[in-house]
Amino acid sequence: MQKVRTASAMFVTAVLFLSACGDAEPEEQADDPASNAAREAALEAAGGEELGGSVSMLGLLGGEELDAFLSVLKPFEEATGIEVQYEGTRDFAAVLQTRVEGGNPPDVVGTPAIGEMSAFAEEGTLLDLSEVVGQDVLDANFSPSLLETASVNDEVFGIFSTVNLGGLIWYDPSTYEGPTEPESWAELQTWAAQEAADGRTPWCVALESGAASGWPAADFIDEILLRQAGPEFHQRWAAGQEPWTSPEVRAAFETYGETVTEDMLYGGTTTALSTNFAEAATPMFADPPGCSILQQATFMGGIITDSMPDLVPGETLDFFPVPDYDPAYPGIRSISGEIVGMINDTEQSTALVKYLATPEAGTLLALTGRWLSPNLNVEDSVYEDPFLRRASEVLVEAEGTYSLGNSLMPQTTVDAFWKAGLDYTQNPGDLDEILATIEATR
Amino acid sequence: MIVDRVQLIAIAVIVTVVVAVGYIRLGDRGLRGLLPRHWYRRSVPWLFIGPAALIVGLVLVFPGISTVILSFFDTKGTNFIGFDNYASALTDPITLIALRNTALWVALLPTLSALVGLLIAVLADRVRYGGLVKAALFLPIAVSAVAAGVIWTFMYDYQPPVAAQTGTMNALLTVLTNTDPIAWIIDEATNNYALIAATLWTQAGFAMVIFSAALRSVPDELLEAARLDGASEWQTFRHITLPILMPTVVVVTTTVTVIALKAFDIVYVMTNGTYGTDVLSTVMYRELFTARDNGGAGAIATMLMIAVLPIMIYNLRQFRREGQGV
Amino acid sequence: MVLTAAEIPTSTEPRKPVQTRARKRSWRRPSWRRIPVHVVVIVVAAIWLVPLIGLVVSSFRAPTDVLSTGWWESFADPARYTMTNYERVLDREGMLLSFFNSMAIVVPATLLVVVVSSAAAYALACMRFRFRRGVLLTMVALLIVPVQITLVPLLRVFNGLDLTGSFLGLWLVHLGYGVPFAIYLLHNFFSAIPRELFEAAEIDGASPSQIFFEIVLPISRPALASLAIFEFVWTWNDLLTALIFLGGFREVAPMPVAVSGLVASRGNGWEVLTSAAMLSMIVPMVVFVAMQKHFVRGMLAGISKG
Repeated sequence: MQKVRTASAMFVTAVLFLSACGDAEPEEQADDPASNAAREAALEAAGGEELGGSVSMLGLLGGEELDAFLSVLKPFEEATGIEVQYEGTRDFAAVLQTRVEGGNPPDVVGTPAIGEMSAFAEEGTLLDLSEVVGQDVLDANFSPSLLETASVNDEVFGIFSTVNLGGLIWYDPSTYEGPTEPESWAELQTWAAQEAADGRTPWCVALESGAASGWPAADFIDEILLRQAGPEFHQRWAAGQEPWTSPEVRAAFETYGETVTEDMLYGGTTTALSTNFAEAATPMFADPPGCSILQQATFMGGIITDSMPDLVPGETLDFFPVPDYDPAYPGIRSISGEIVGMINDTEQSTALVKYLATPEAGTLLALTGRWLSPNLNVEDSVYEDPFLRRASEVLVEAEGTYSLGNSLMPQTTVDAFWKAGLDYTQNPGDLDEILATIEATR
Repeated sequence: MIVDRVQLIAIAVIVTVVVAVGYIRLGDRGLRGLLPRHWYRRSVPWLFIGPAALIVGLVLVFPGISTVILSFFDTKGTNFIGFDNYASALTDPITLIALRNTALWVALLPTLSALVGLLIAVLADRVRYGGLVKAALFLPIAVSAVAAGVIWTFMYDYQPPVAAQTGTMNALLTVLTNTDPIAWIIDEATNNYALIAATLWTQAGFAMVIFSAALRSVPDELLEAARLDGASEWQTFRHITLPILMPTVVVVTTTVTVIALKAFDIVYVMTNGTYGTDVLSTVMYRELFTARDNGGAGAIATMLMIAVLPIMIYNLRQFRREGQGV
Repeated sequence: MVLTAAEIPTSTEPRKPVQTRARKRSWRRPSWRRIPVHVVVIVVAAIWLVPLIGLVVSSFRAPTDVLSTGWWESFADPARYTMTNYERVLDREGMLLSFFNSMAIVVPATLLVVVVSSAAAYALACMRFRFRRGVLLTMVALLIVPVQITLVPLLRVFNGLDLTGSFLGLWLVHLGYGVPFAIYLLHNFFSAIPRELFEAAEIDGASPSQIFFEIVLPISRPALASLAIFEFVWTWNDLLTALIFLGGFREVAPMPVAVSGLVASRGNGWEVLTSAAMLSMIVPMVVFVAMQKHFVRGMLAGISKG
């Protein structure tokens, strides 16, 4: 007993000592042009004075992405004296809803679930940012389609803070032997089918993701639908005007289905369903490679290099955009991203939202190397991360850029869509039933 | 800031103890002084029960009642729709799966937890390293649901049959029986049991601690007398220890049954109800926070609360039985 | 079985802990007969420890290693062990504060639960009054109330009382959640106390509060210790209630909230959960060990219940 007490005391002391070491460094303001510019922009956003006080922000970010986002907010805090109290939680929906209904909502929210936010906007919980920030400022910094995506009844309830480009095929140039600039989806899939016939499994797919399992499949199918059936159908479908049981949606599922047959996948469908999405690329780098191509958005690059820092962009990891599915709709790209919305109208929250709409904040965001900035005034050259720079170029060259449908739908439908991704991968024969189930949530 | 917290703890502890002791002692004396004997005897229990009743009334009864009321209204709580929410819940295939699964949890978790807990509580006292064994069973309680989810997701990890297994269960399986690995969490034949096993891992220690404490009040003299009379260990246990422990067995099984009915954390973290693992709490959570349907969530919560009635009736009989010995 | 006055113990010294008695008894039984007991106990302990050992080992491995080979294979290559997971948790700004935030939430909450429930359980177990069974049954029935449905109504009330974001508010919430089980557990133990003790004390002129403080509480140390352990652990690991009633900002965030902030929104970065879980387990373990000394045979060991 005495030994346990002594040991515990020693351990606690050690912990205290170590933690104290971590906290001991004094804070210095970064002195590079981007940070300086951001500080000026922040001061301007606050109306030219150091307001002080605090603003509470609720979001989902955690870990290193949270660190990156907070580094974007640091010049704002330094210049205006406003403390940004960020709460990140994966139980975002539960916490936000409880707080809103309970009467103490956060001042500002940041989330990729645009559909969920539009429900709050319709209730009047989210404020109209065109009035807070100014329609002219919004128009100067964001493309009309982005503004419209986060609008309901002509009121802008969210401005995009981060953007990810979807529909990229990641591969290892040192081992990949397929087409790197295929003309069409058919060409890519023909190569894949040939690989499968030769006994290799070309597609890397991993769908597990805790409570959100199935979302990679949903995103993939979403983009296929966008580019196969065209943007107009896609928009109507996202808005609930086209049923899930329509032939176009069916066709999109089936196109996806070609990539997840038993012989296409490393370890078969069971492995795909059991493996966490962040590990999807791991077999690519095994010897011999277990799979060769992975469809995923820009953030996957960061995830892969986080766990395998020895990879060299361009030499052992690279991407090419998914080729067109249908020659009638060339050059369409899909994006997803987080929006920032405002609930409480205070001086501090106004300043924060205005700051996040500035190109200076966007530049800082781009410099973190994690996301693309939605701001029109952030130039390609700002991106130091090679993947993001190329992605930015792809976006600029695109014929049209559209948000993924599943970020716009109500959460129950989104949940059903994710689950359908899992169900369909497991049982492709049940497609009609699966589609009917999603339709029933509407 | 840290100093603030330490001060806060110190103040809270001191104030709580002082106020509690003062409230009971002075309240008792006050009532005795102010009231005639008969009224004093009738009111003194309420002095003791008062704080508990008040806090529980606020935190549990009031929300509970408003939930039941809301279950008869529509999504936003504005229109009265009678039993519609109940009807749609009971015909919804997902809710039915959840009902079936919850029944499975209720059937397995309490009995297994009590068995393992009792077994170790009794046997660990007989071996010199019993303290370590008890600690081994207790540690999982100290693990948070999220951490338990991480641990067991790795225990159940699945790798393709040709590859080396990284999950403990599959490694044992492939080595001991030479069969293919099982995707424990995805395979609907195993996943509910897998989740229940993970929860059992965290609950057996709970049963063990309570039984350990209860065993302390089994009189030595009775046990010695039985042994002197030549009774075997099992007979002693069955005819002397167990009857004395029965009330505790009821408490443990009731509590773990309620835990099984309300099971949420491990299911949410590991599968969120996919692959047919939904339980009533995950369905209710989705109704409440995803569908934002207060009425639907209320219906499921009410069904959950009603499900506990049979157990409560059994407990009532137990209380009555105790009352006769008083 | 009637108790004579001579059999009522007058000292409050606990008897010797049972382990000593077990050793004394064992000479009567040949050691080979004890093997089944050892086997069963060791097998169960091993089953329960394996997942934990997996956790411990994994917390010292890099995430790529954890995903590519089983933890049992890591013993072959000890050079690959690393402290990175622990460093990431400990170096994180605010971790130390979150530890103290957790203590500031859990210690008063546990104390409140024990205090409030022992008083109520005493009345419900040891006094006779109308509605006794009704109140007891209601208390126990309240075990079933799911936490999620209490959040919004309570938050509304707390907002009105200006208790949100305060530690006091969170203590009250945890108190409310903990009382049903606490009363249920303590009632079970208190009602096993022989009537004769109370009757003797009442004849001596003791008041209910005296009986409570001088007889019931001292006898019930094992029960109170078990309750304290559970309340401590359950409150220690709570995440959602703290997030809603206190907030997730760094100043007030308890450890579970702070740790969840180490994991990115899509779940990558999970490897810190292994080391965080290890670190987080230490405090409840210390509490458990500290409470063990209360698990002694009370004075009831010499008295039989009728």
